[in-house]
Amino acid sequence: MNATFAIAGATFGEAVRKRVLMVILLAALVIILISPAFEPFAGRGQRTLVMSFGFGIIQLAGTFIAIILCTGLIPNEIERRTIYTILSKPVQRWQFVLGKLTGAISTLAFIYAMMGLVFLLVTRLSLGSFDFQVLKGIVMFFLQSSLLASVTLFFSTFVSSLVNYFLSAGVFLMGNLMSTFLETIQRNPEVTPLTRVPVQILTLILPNFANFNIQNPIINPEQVLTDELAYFIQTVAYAIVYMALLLVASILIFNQREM
Amino acid sequence: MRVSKSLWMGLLILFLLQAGLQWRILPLWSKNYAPKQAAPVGLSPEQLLVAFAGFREFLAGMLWVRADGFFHSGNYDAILPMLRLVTWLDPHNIDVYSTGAWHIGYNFTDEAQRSDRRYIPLALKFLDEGIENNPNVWELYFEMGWMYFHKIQDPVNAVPWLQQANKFPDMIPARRHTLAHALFKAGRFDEAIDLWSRLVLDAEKERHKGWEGHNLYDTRLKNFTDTLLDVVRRYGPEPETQPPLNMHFDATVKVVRPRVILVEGKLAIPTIGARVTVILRDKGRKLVYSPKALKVFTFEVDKNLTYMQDSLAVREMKFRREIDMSKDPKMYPFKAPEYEVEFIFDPRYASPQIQDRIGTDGVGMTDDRYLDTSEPSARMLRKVVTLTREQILMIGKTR
Repeated sequence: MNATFAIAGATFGEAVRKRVLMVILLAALVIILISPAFEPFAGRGQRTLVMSFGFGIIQLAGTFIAIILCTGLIPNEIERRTIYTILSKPVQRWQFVLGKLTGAISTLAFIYAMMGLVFLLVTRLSLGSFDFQVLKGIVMFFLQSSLLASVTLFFSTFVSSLVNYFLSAGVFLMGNLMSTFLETIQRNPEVTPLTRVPVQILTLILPNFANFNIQNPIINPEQVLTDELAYFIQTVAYAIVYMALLLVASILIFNQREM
Repeated sequence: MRVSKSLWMGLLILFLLQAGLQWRILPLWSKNYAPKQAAPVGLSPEQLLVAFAGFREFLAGMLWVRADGFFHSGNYDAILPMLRLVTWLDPHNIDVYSTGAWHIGYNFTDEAQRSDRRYIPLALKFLDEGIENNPNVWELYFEMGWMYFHKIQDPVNAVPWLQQANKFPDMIPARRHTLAHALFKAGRFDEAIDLWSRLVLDAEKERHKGWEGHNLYDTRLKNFTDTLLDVVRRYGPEPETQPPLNMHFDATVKVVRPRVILVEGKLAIPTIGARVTVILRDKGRKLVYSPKALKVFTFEVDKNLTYMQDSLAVREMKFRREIDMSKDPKMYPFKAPEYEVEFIFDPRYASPQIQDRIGTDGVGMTDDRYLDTSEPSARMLRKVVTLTREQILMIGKTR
């Protein structure tokens, strides 16, 4: 297990030294900080503007960082041939993959903590009091990015970095739209089971990133939600299970890869 | 090999587990977080990208601000598609539903500021959609009730919506009064008095909390006593509404130019402040003021339907107005072969001094020819005149 932590630590250290990631983080922090400047354009919707803009920036930055961080995690090691040094030591391949994923998730946790703190501060400055409800949204977006990181890491075990960018972004987009698409066709009485059932199956197969988009009731707090706690628990469990699934799949592929 | 087999087995178990979890999450997601309408038509690809990149509510807010700009520049038609987009992006933005419904219901007018009442069923449907998406918010029930109470002037149908709104503990206190007013106008006097008395008792508990508490208590107490006095004066042992006053109601229509009519008539009410409603519509085409009148929400009104409604002031027992419908052919297309011109005097919305004489429900008025008792909540005066399309479009004859 020490090997796993060592790899995770190294991955984290390497990630926070990556300029591109830190530039994205810095840009996100600055944009969140200046978001109250748009208030004059918001009319009566000051809360909507500050909250939705902040959440939007956090999600966007988290998504970019997760993809950029994870596409190169394994291919770079192979390209630089450092992987041979690592695997020549008493390190199992599964430990390597697990360490990489843990490092990536730790990096995301650090980045989300930073963005969450700044966002909380902005709600205090702009709305007059700390709105701790935003933390729920931040946690959910963190899980979303972690799941996306797992997807990207999974792809990185068998495709090149360039292909991985598009593949991961495509899966993220699809995973964000599937529920909405299913909801739309379920409401339409003219849609036949021949169309509906494949969409339902696809919704159960693809990682569903829309599950984590819970910002709307935080932005519009007058909503009364049904079984909010159950939803929260199930979604957290879903993220963990799906990440485990992708990890196992990554290990299986990586184990069979010839190097 | 054995490790690999275990991993494959683990993979299968995890896959089934995530599918099971997703199966359970979907209905809750659908209830709490799903967009409520079909996909948007009118968002540019960039806007769609922004929406799906997590800025749905932000984009909705920006579009709403833009819609506000259109409102202030008088470009009302441009607001309608924006309302659709904004509610798609953020179906829980109450302000958009309430302000949007007000805009649809009130702001489309002709040259003489007469409302295009063909839009009212659309406004009701829009509010209905808002209520469906936000069933736990009092504002939209209230807005629906207000639309019936104020715009449509139908207190009977306003009452159920206002009652629904009044069930919410977080409702703004002053807004609760509207239900009492609607109950009174609907002829449910006992319930109105009962509600006022309960409102007074509620306000008494808050009376010590500054001037707002005092003000609320005083307002409610005044309304309570006024309502009691009104009922006693109008319906007590020696009612001022008796014997019934003969209104000698009559009205005529004259086509003075193509699409321009002169309406005049008399109403023998011995005080100022009475108003007679005049409606010109396609024969047999009464507007159905109900959210159920439309199966699906649309911004399109029936372009072939002509529907004009105006309110005429009665002075010295007479009313008279020239109504010009020639400048707004979109609102008054005159496509039907025949038209009804209906004159209505509804005592429920008459001023208090008139109601003191004839009652809120018209119990103190009668008429030899045009008394209409078909509406249970009030006796009204109603006269209908029929005109043909040829008569309205040509310089016509007196009817």
